[in-house]
Amino acid sequence: MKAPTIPLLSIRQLAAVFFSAMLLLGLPSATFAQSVESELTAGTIQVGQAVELRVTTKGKSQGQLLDQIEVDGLEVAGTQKQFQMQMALPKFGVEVATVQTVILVPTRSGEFTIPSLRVRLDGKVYKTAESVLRVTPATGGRVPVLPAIPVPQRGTVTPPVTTQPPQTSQPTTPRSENPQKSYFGEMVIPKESSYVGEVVPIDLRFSIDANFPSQFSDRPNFSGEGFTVLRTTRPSEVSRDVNGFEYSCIVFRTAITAAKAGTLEIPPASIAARVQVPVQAPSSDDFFGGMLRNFGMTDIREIEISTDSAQLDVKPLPREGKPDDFAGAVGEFKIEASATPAKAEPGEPITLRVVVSGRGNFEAMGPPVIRDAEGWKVYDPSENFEPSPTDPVGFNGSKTYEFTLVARQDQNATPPVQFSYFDPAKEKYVTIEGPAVPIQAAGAGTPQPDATADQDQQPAPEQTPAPQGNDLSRDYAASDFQPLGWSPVFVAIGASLAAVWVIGFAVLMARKYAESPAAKRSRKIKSRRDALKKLEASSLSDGDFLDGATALFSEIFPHKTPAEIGLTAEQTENLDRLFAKHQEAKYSTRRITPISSDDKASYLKTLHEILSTKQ
Amino acid sequence: MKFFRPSSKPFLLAFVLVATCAMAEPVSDAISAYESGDFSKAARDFETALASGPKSAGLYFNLGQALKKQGETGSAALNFRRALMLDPRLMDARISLSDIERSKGIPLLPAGWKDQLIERVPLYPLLVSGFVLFWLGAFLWLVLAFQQSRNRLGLVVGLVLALLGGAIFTLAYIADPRFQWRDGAVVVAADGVSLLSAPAERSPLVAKLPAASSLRIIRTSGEWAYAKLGDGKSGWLPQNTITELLPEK
Repeated sequence: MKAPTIPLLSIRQLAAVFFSAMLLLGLPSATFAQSVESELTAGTIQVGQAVELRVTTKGKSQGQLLDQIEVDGLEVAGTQKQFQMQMALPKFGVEVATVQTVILVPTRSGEFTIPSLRVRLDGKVYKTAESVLRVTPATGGRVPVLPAIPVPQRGTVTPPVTTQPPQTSQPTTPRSENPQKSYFGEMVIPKESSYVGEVVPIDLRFSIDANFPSQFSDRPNFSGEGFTVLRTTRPSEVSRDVNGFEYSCIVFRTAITAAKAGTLEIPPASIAARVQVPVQAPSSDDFFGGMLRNFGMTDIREIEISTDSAQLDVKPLPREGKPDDFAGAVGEFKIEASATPAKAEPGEPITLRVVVSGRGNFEAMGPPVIRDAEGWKVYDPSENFEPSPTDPVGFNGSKTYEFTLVARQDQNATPPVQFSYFDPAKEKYVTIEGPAVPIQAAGAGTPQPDATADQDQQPAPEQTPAPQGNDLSRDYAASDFQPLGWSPVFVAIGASLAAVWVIGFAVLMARKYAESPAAKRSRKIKSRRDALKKLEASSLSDGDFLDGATALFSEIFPHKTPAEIGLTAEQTENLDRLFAKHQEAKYSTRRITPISSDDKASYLKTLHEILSTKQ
Repeated sequence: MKFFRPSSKPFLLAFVLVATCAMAEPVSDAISAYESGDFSKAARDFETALASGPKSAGLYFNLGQALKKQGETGSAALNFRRALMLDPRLMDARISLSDIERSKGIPLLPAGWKDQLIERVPLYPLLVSGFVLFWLGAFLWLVLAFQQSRNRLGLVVGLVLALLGGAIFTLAYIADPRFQWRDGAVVVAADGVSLLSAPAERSPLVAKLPAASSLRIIRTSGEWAYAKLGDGKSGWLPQNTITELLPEK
């Protein structure tokens, strides 16, 4: 016969016994200070956005909220209650922290005062402080408030470990088809149809039974073909009451843009989550299992929550009325322009800042068009998108384009800018214009053809990138580094003209000189010398010699006798004899005696002397 | 004897066409490379076109653009300046050069009268008009003088025209960037260069010149060049850090 055996306790069971004993020993001597606090998770929100009022109590037992919030303009979208027990050393007692959360959704703007609420804690009633909530009007594109969920049949919610593998639920009937589910996903699309390029906001909601602490991954998996997904916000966590069951719900907000017309199939979105579920008893020993559950011993289970797929009817943008400069913007926008600096030197660039703000597909749209850019050099703009602080998804905001302009001519204003978009609400194209901004820009030269300046005439509707070669010159006129003034043409023509001019000037000067008294005197001297040379020729007859000699004297001293001109006696005598001989030859009827060579020499000598001294 | 007989004209035409095509091929290759984003090949082809064919402001500008895309700002600025030497009114080159100078923090000096003149008035017509006016006046004066005319007004008009034309021609000649920048150079060293007070490496620093800075070379001594900046500062710097604007030098 076998001796009875004592069953061995597992470590978990031993730990449960130990903690139970410690609690029993420590509780009587433990004393705690109670505290009640309340806070709003945000002081200012927009209409339709959810805010949480958290009432936190600490004491020996769970706190209980006794009042309900009834404020006109605030709807209670859900409540949640969480508590946490912790050892309080050195007194070795248990402190219970309770957080009761009330989800409030404002239905109108204004300032709301949430009155103080009564809380029962450890047998006493406490009051929270009043809270003030400011609600601003909703900007465009807000995500709708959580839709009402039909009340499912009340049923037992079992821990996830006991449920079937997760299934997606219908967005509007998450639990009605299968009330056994402890978690479900929803995809909320506020409209059934859209235009190509239009931004459609989407809510992705994932709910888990609030009885099971859970932890979600940072981002859901959501993508598909035929559309682009904008940024997904950080999740907001709310508590929902569905048919009396509390659910922890996280909401991701995002938006999609359809790329083509037709029926768009939007695949399900999914998210991974970890759920804390109570441990199950390792055997049929329900005593220890119950103890472990009572002391918060839990297991971690990893699950995936998915939404259903959805459909969206995507309509093409109309061809009618499509502006030439339409570059794919769909939404509702306004435009503003400014320029710096106000005064620019020649060649100094001016920055034209154009801000397109509103809501729409900022990521896909092209820049505004600069009109009447003749006389400007326009460079492709830089762009920077700033989402609205109240819309982290990115379909509300402003996009700033900075054009660099350089004046080719003097300008007193920037060229106007123009922006065209399709407004899906009005279902038509709209063109808005930013006015010319007054500036003073000094330019230079005549306008040159500029490919980028013609963008108002030939816009790129699909925002095709401009070819790189647009910023190259196509003018290859041959030139040279030699100064133009030294170019062969100038030199050749200049040299020819200079030669002609110099020759002409020389001729002019020669003529002027020829007409001068000195030139005339010189010519006379020369002619007299020539005449004297002729007289020296032996071939002359005596008569010709006498005629020539007396004529030469008379030319030098007209109407004067040799005695009147102050000659020497010898010269006077020679000349007298010459004149006498000439008279004889001229008037005598008889033949004159020939002139001797000595006489001729003396006459010539005298004439030489006269020519060299008296003229 | 005629230099070209009538039968030689087709050969002359063919020669011109061949020469044109020889330049056109590297240019079209360079543009294709540039459009496809291969800026290195584009720069090489533009350099080939400039080496094998006639110089042009457009080719220097394109070469500058290709170099600028590669981040070679000093060489890009050099070629933009060369383009502006050949065509002072090429605004695209002026703008690109201004972009580089601003990005390098090179101060914008106020434009002198020569720069303002060539920016506002086309240089070649100015030279031609000065040339024509000068010779018109000179020959008017000469003819009237020849005729021993007593038309003093005509003589004065001729003289004034000649003086005016000569002045215009001289102004245009002096303002011509080919003449004005004949001793110019650009810092092409990527990291810039130090302008020193003496031609020795450890000399006191006069100024730190970033790439693309322009200067005038006053004289050279060995491997050093004595240069003057637009703001009046002067000093020595290694010759291998700069490139002269005149490519023939």
